[in-house]
Order: sequence, then C-alpha cells, then structure tokens
Amino acid sequence: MDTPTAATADLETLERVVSRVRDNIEKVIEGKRDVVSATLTVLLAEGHLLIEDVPGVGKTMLSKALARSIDCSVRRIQFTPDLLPSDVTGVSVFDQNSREFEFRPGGVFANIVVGDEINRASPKTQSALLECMEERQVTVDNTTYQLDSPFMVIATQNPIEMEGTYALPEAQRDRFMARVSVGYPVQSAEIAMLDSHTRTSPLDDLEPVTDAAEIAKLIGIVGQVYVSPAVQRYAVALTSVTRGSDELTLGASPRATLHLVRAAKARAAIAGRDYVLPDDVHDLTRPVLAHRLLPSVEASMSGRSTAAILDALVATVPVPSGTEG
Amino acid sequence: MSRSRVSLPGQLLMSVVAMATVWVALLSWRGFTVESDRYLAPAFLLGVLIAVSGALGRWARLPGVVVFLGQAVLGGAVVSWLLTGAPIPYGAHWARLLDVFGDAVDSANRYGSPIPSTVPSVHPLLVAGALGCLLLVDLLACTLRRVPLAGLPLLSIYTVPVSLGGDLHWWVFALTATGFLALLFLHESEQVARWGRPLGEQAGDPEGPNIRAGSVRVSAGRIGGAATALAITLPIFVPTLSTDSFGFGNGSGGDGDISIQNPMADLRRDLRRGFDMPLLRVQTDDPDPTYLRIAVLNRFSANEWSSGDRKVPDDNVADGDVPGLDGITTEVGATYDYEVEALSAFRSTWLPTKPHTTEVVAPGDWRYDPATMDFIAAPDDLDTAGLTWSFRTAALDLTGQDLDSAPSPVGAVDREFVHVPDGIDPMVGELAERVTAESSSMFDKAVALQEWFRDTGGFTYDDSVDLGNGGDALVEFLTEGEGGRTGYCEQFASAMAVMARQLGIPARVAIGFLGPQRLGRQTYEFSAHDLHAWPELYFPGSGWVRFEPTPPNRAGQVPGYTSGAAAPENPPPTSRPSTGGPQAVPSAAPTARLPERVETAGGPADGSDGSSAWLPVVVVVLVGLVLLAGLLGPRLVRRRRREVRVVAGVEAAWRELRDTVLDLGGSWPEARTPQQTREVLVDQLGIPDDEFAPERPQRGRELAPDAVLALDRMVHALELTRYAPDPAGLPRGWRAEVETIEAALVGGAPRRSRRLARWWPRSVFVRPARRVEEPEETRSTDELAPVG
Repeated sequence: MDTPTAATADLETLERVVSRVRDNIEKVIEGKRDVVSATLTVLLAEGHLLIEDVPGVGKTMLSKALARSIDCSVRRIQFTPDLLPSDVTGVSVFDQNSREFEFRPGGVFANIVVGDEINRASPKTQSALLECMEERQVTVDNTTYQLDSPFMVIATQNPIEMEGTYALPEAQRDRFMARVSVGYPVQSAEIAMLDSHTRTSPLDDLEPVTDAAEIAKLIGIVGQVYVSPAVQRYAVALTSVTRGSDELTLGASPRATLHLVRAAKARAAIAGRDYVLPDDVHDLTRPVLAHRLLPSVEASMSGRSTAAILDALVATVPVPSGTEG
Repeated sequence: MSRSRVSLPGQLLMSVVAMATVWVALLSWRGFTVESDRYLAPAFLLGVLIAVSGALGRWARLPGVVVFLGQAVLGGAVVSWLLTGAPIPYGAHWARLLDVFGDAVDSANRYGSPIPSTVPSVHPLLVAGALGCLLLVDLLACTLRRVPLAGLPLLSIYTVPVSLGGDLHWWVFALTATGFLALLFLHESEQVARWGRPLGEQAGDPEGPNIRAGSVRVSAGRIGGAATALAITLPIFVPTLSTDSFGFGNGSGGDGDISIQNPMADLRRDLRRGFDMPLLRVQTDDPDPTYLRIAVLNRFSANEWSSGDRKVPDDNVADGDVPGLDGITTEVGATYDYEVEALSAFRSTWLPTKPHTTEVVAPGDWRYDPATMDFIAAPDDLDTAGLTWSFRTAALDLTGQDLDSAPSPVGAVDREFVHVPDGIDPMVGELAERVTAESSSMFDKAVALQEWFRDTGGFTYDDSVDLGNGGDALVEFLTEGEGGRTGYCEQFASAMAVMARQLGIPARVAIGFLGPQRLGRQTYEFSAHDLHAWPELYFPGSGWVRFEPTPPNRAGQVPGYTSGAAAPENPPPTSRPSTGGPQAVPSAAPTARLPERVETAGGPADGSDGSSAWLPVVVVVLVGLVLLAGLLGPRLVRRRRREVRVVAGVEAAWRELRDTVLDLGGSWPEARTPQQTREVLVDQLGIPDDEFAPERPQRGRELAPDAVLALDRMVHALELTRYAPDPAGLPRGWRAEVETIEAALVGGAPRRSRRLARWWPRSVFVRPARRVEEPEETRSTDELAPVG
C-alpha cells in the first residue's frame, strides 16, 4: 500500500479529542456510551447519522449535545409536514435595493445540521436533502453552493409505525451512514437524569471542547487508516451476502460497502489502531447496514426483524485470514 | 467457479498420479505368477476408470461416500465382467465367479510362486487385490485428501512380496516412492494455492495448483530424491532384519520353496553324476554311521513321491532338544553324537541327520517338522553348504518279535501314509497280496516284500535306467520281461512303500546317504554316490522302521530286525540283552500317536487344505496395517503438525490452537474474528495440568490468567499479521503460548473430551472449512427497487 498510514502521534491526538467530546456529551446523555461512540464514529467518517427511536428518549438531546461540543456552525431544522424544500436548501430572493437576486441560505448551510423528526416532512422536502448529503453542495437556480466542511446531518426520526410520519425514501436512507437507537435509559441513569434535568437544562452549560478545524484534521487522520485486502474482501462479502438472501427484497448497496469501510476506519482510529480489524467491520454491520435493507414479505410476516436477519447472514460469512482456514 | 474448487484438470492430474503410483507398486506382485499381464492389464484398466470417475465425481462436488461407492460398484462390475463376462454376477455367472476365485485360492495354496501357467491362474485374486488397493488409495489421497495416509496401502502392496521373500526390483520401490512424493507435492501445492496470495507478495496465479517459488520446488525435489535414494541404498549396508522375528517368515509361510527342491530329483541327478564328489564329513562315536537321512517323502500322488505340504510351526526351531523319540516306546539301546561338516558342494535346504535324533545344534534358522523329524531351512538363503552341525541320535533296540507283535497301525498315523491314488494299476495291489500271501502279521508282510525285492523277485539293480517313481514307472518297474524289474534305489524304495500301503501298512520314502567311506577312527566321508533312498514303515510303539529292498549288490545288509534273528538294529558296542518278548510292547501302543500331525486330521487326503499360503499373510498384514494406521495414524499426524506449527509463525500457531479446540470437542466457526474467538476461549479455560479435575471441571478466565495473557499476545500478533500494513518483525515460535493456552483448555475440558483429544484427535479428520463462495458475476438489480 502506498498511502501513508496514520502516525501514532496523530492517533493519540484523535483519541484525546474524541474522549473529550465523548465525556462532554455524556454529561447530558448518561449511560449511552455505545450510542455516543457510534455518533462520533460517524462524525469522523464524514457520514450522516440517523437516530431513530420513540419520542422522548433523548434523540434531539444527543444531536444537540454533539453540536454544542464542537465549536462550529450548527443549524437545526424542525421537519414538519408543511416544511418546504426551499426551507432546507435556501432560496433566491429579489433584492429591491440592489435589483438582483440574492441567495438566502437554507438550514443545511452549517457544519452540523440537526434535522429533527425528519420523517414528519413530506417526501418532497426530504428529497431536498439528497444532494446536500451526498455531494455536500446545494444547487438553487442553476447556481451551486458548496457546503462547509465538516458537514454532518444528524437526523432524528420516530419509527415509521408512528402516527403522522412518512417513511424515508430508500435513496435517502442509503445516504445515512448509520442508524442508531438511543433506547430507554437504565433506571439509575434515569434517576440521575431527574436530578440534573429538572432544574436547568444541562445543555445550556455545555461548552465546546473542540472546533471544526480540529475535526477536519481528525477526519484526515481517519482517512489514512490502513484497510488490508482481507478486510476489504470481508466488507464486500458482508454486503454481498445481503443481496442474495431470500429474506430481503433489497440488499445493501455498494455505497453501503463504502460507508461500512469508512466507518470501520473511524472506529479503528478511535480505538488507537492504524489498521482496521474484521471486528471493526463486523460490529458496524448493524448500525451501517440494517436501515438500508428491506425485508421480504415472508420475513416481515414471520416477525423477524431486519436486524435479526442481518445478524444471521453475517454469521455465515467467514472471517478472512492469512490462510485458507 | 469459486477459487476453492479444484479444476477438473487438477482433479484428473491428482487421480491419475495416484492410480499410476498404485499400478507401479502392483508391479511388485509380478513374482507371484508367470502370467503377470493377466492382472497388470486389468489393473491398468481399473486404474483409469477409477481415476476418471473419481475426478469427475469430485469435480461435480458429489459427496465423498457417493464417489467411493460409485467407484467400488464400477470397479466390481469391471472385475466381474473380466472374470465371468457379465458385469453383474448372478446365477451362472455368480457360480463362475466363485469357481474362478476358488481355483485361484487353490492354486495359491498349492503352488509356490511364481504360479505356472499350466494350472488355474491366481490372477483373479491379484485383480481383486489391485482393485481394493486402487480404491483405497483414491479414497485416501483424492477423495479425503489425506495423501500421507495413502502411503500405507502403497506400503502394504510392497510388503506382500517382501514378506514372502519374492524377487523384488529396487526400481519398483523407487518408482512407487516417486509417485507418492508427486502426490504429496501436488496436494501440498494445491493447499498452498488455496491460502490465497500471501501479504506483501505480488499476486501470482492463485488458481492452479502451483507452488510459486522455484526454490521451494527445488528443495522439495531434493529432499524427496534424497529420501528415496537413502531408502534404497541404506538396506545394502545394514544387516538385514530377520523377517522371522515378526512371525511371518518362511517358517509358517508355506512350503513353496521346499517343494521346488525335490530331494528325489536331486538324488537321481547325483547318482547319475559321472564323477563322485565328497559332500559330508562326519565325526561320530557311532560304530555304524550308515543311513544318514536327508528328507522324508510322505505323499504319493500318481506322478511322484513328494514331501507334500508341510506346515512347520514357528517355534520348532532346531536348536537343542528335539522330540525325536516321541511316540516310541521301544527301548533306547545307546546314543551317539555326530558332528557333520558339509562341504561347499553340498547345497541342501534339508539338514541331514539320523532318524531318532534327540538333540540338534545347527547354525542358522533350521526348523523341524515333528511328524517326520525333517530339518528344514527357514530362511531362503540358508542351506547346508559349508555348514557344520552336530546332533545326538538314539539307536533303538528293535527286535523282530516286538515288531511282529505290534498292534494294528490303523488310526495311529495320518491316513495320508496309507493313501494310494486311484489311478494306480490294480496289478500293484495284487502283486503285493501275492507276495505276502503266506505272511500273517504286518511285520511279516513287510519282511516278505523286502525279501522279494532283494532276492526272490528277480530284480536287478541298475542306476542307468530312466524311470521315475510315479504310478506308471512303478508298473513298468514291477512288470517282468524285457527291461522290467530293473531299477535303482528310487524304484525299489518307492515300489516297496507303495505296496506296503496297498497292504495297509503306513509307509513313506526316505532320502539320505547309505554308507560312508571311513577316513579315520571316528571320521567318515559321504559322497554323491552314497545317496540312497529307502522305505520306512510304521509300526506302533517302534515308530518308523527302516527297510532295505534294494538288492545286495548296492545295499549289502538288511536291518538286523528283518533278518529273522532278533538282533538289535545296530550291533551295540555296549551290548544290551534284548528285553524281547511280545509282552515287552506296552499295551498302550495302539494309541500311540505322532505328536503333531503334518496335516490337520480329517482333511482330504490329497492335502490341498491346511497348507499355509500367502493369501492369509496378505490379509493379516493388510488388516494389521490398516488397524495400526487407524489407531496410531491420527495421533502421529496430529503430533507432527503440532511440532511444525509451534515453531512457525503466529498463523500456524493459531491453527494449532484451532485443532486443539476441535480435538476437545469445541467448535471453531469460520465467521468468528480472532477477537471473538478470544472472548469465547477465555471462558473455556480451566486450571492447567489439573490431574484430579472432576468430570466437569471449573471454567473461567480467572482460573488461568497466564493463558489469557498468552492468548491476548497471540491474538494481537495474529491481527498484526493479517490486517496491519506492516506486519514485519513479529516473532516466530509460539510454543510457550500455545502450550500455556492448551494446558488451560485441557484443564477446562470434560474428562471424556480430554481422553478423546488424546487418542482420537478429531482435527485430523475435520477439513478446514472452505472460503465462502464469492459470486463473481454481477448481480442484476432489475427486480430491485431503484436505488439512488
């Protein structure tokens, strides 16, 4: 491999920053280390995060805590059924004084965009996010505007069974690198939460512990993490196995493979390694792949969750090694 | 096609090499029959069929059992077709198949190798054996991919002629060894190819079976060549290990070599030899050192007198006391010591001694046949030339009265000794009756016959006649007229023995030396012209008693007990008065039996049974080898692998760990990462080296902290090796770690699993799981919802 690998010093910096951010977020979200880790992994992998859960478990709190921890521009878009695409992307307004069209940037022009309750907006508005998420640019009236870097969309949504929700289009789901659920807190954490959250909002006290430039640097470090051919094969095997399964009507896309490997690199870097282990890939299959898959009718009828189907499929894929065994 | 699947040419190559190796090994059986084409050609056909069918079956991914059964059925059908003309033997064809095999077994039992072409061929046995070997080798080497184990059937093919002392060429061994090495090479290179491209090396062609580095190929060839050369040349310099120490030497291996050297034929040749030559020098205190016996001929077939089938037990080694007087109640008059030196001209695989020998000391492995007290060389290369041996013999106080009052010999010896083949002219029997018409007892009749031959019958001694000793020769010899009643000792001895048999007296023919030339006071010399034949007749209580029908101009004296005077056999220097009288013969005499019969009692008198042939040896050797391989093979394989792995890199050590887990009954899913495996293993650890662990010992990571640390070191090194950009500088040799972890794993395993792991390592039989199928074709997305 010709690409330089991440240096030890870089990895130490990354670890330090990540642990600072993590500690900061955990001041607000207690007992959810896994979710916080996944969030940071996606951030460093330059992905977008979809947080899906029932209302009231702290989805928005998590996204806002992350946004606050980083000293960068943050926009929040509350997705409602009457939200228009131009509210998201921005709109050109005719300035009477200058007698020119002036571009008023929409909600996506920020380093971190928190899309709250994203599946409450109409599919038309949801689709407006497509271009910005993938290409990190906005095109309005034939003019293309580049978005800042780092750019991350943290969207929250209620499960699609909830009232008043529109299912996210497959294309949009595929653009989210990972989907996580926050889940109910354990009892002790919930009691502690009662103590801290009832007086003031802990979010108000949250200070930024890093800035956009540093995060951009960390993203660069993650890019240098080495992925061996064996692990690449493993990632491809994992996504391929979902495409051939009878229980799924839609398998993982090649973009999913890309996201899987990028997320695995970020995970390896956070663990202080300059190379990716199959474990990194393996442990990320659920958050990275599950939300992209469509179970077949039979599988849905038999009550198997997509995650369970995915786990069963992953268990059939041999881990590559230096030898045949 | 996936990478793990061996291509059809690859399969074919492997199968063909395996079958060719077996076929070459089968060349070592050529010594069994003069018509070696009759098994080599079918074996070739079978080899081709098995190779092709096996390669196709395996290529089509049929289960191994199906492939093997298919080959067995196919091979069986071809054998049946070759032997009976019908692929499926039923009805008449089945009977024919049984006949063919029955005849083959009969021939194998009856004749020594090479089996002549004039008798039913043994090739059905050889073809069946070849089929078995071909199937076994294909199963082991190609279907199960246990090439090293395939060496065992190959070795047993070669062992059969070796154990039978067959004529073997070194090049057969060399070619077989080369074929086996080629098999190993193909197998290993295929294994290596399946590993995929090693890290840090540019891709070669991972598909075909090839070992990439030329140097590897060269050293492999060198090692194989050197080993083969050593195996061939080393035995030349090492003293040969006697096969007898394994119990399948010639002693029990049948009489093939003995029957070839017919003493009668030697006698005929030596008597006719124009010049006399000294053969034996004897030093003895016996005043009458005549009638030194070489061998006894106990079977009379229509064609000739022969030594018949002899089964000489392994333990009858002639070294010290021998039971020369068993079954004899007649008193021993005196004992004499003999020291015999054979000159180099005397080559005999029979050791000349006197009858009633009680003690023998002879260098080399000589065995005695307790029924005849013949001494036979057990190894092939042993004969009397230049040999010196000594023995002690007893002179019996035989008297005419004793013999005269001897009870009936019926049932006292094997029926073979009174057997006369059906084809003998009735005239012989009538003549015997006529000559002995006036005699009452058996002994009287015998004496009358002796008198008739020597004196009253009008016989002439002439050693120039060209007569044999078979039925027709006998009739010619006994017929009066032109050229009739003329012969030499062979005819006299055999005629008297046959006629005695006709009268119901057990009889046989002995071959030996008549009388020596005296050299000194106690020194004598026997020469070629002293060779002689005489009949021995059985009288209960006295055993086999010598008679002398040959006329006086050749054999001067008749035995004393037959001359009417009740004189002892040998005029004793220390003369003892004969105890005499009929009452001296113990009444138990009729039940006196020879200690051990040559033949199993009740068997057919033609002697086709009971003989030891090479077939049982083959079966025993094969079964023994297979059992031994089955019992010890897996352990040995396992141990060897381990020794190689613990000094190699971490990948090998990891495989060793995998095998240990498999041996202990655990599982090792291929879909587990090293970290996950580590997590599973640490919970299976127990107290290491706990001899007194209960049936289900405690488990847990806290019980073996050392093992956990060792495991972590291994996992880390393994991950670096496999997945890190620059895995250089990793240590080789993981013996300490592997042993620590294994001890803890064993400590945590149930007792039963531990025993199983020790004696029957499962990992030897579990094939490493193949890499998952990687579909190479592009999957159509037509049926899927459009994806951005």
